[in-house]
Amino acid sequence: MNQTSPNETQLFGNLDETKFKTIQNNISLSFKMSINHAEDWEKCSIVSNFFADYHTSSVHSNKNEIKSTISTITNELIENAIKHTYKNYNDISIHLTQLPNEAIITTENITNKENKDNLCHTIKQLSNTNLEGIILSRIKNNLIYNQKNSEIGLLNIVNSFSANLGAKISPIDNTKFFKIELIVSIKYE
Amino acid sequence: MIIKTEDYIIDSSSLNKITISGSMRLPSPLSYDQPFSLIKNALEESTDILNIDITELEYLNSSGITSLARMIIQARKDDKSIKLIINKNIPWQNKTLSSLQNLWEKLYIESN
Repeated sequence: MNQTSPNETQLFGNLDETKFKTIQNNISLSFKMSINHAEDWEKCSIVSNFFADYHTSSVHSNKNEIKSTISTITNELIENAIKHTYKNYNDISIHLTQLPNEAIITTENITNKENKDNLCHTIKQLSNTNLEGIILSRIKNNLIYNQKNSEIGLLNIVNSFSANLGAKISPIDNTKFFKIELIVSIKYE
Repeated sequence: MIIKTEDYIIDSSSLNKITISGSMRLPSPLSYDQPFSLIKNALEESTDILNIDITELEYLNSSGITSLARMIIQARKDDKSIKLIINKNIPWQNKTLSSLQNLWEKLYIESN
């Protein structure tokens, strides 16, 4: 993890600027979605399934398994972006980068400091060797405190699918907000 | 009782058995309260191990996994046994659900 001041772009996970630009320069499919949380929730699933179908159209083995995995991961990323988008910034972007035996899904959203700090806390937990224990602990706390969100989506992606997750967090000039770019890479044979 | 929507079906019409099929990606754990009330009721009425068959449940998001885990915690409180019948060919089922066994020793997972 890079150590930077809060006013500078921060990179988390196995991600540097070169790798980030490689991903950005090889995007195969890109969507911008404007979603009303209450009314348009099922569109998350529609887009996730489309991304999975699109990616696996050129995959020849384990197609159903890869499709299911990509749809699951994409859906969690979109849901995460929507739930943590600041209310005045309803747009999220989602990109698919196709590399040989690898799919990279990226989401972009705008959020406030509180959500940004929560995300940083979650990302730091990803390096914990007992991720399963953290997920179960969050599930128990979720019940005790009747929390609105499950808060296990990103942890579950990494724990269950051995995915690599990175993040780029950039302050937006002259505002109190941050642009969040979450990047998940899933490799398969 | 059966709940049937465009996306999923939950059938609790048989004693000690529930089947959930389709795709469940609801917005929050709270939004699962109503559909999963069938599991809660079936648990209360069960006379033996409650079999929850999800072999045809294609997708369940993290809110749904949290809500399913709540049912398992409830079963532990009530000392009721659950058998979760999963489909090993559906990646999220095969890779995610085994950890829930840590919540309750009388949760059994059977894959077909």
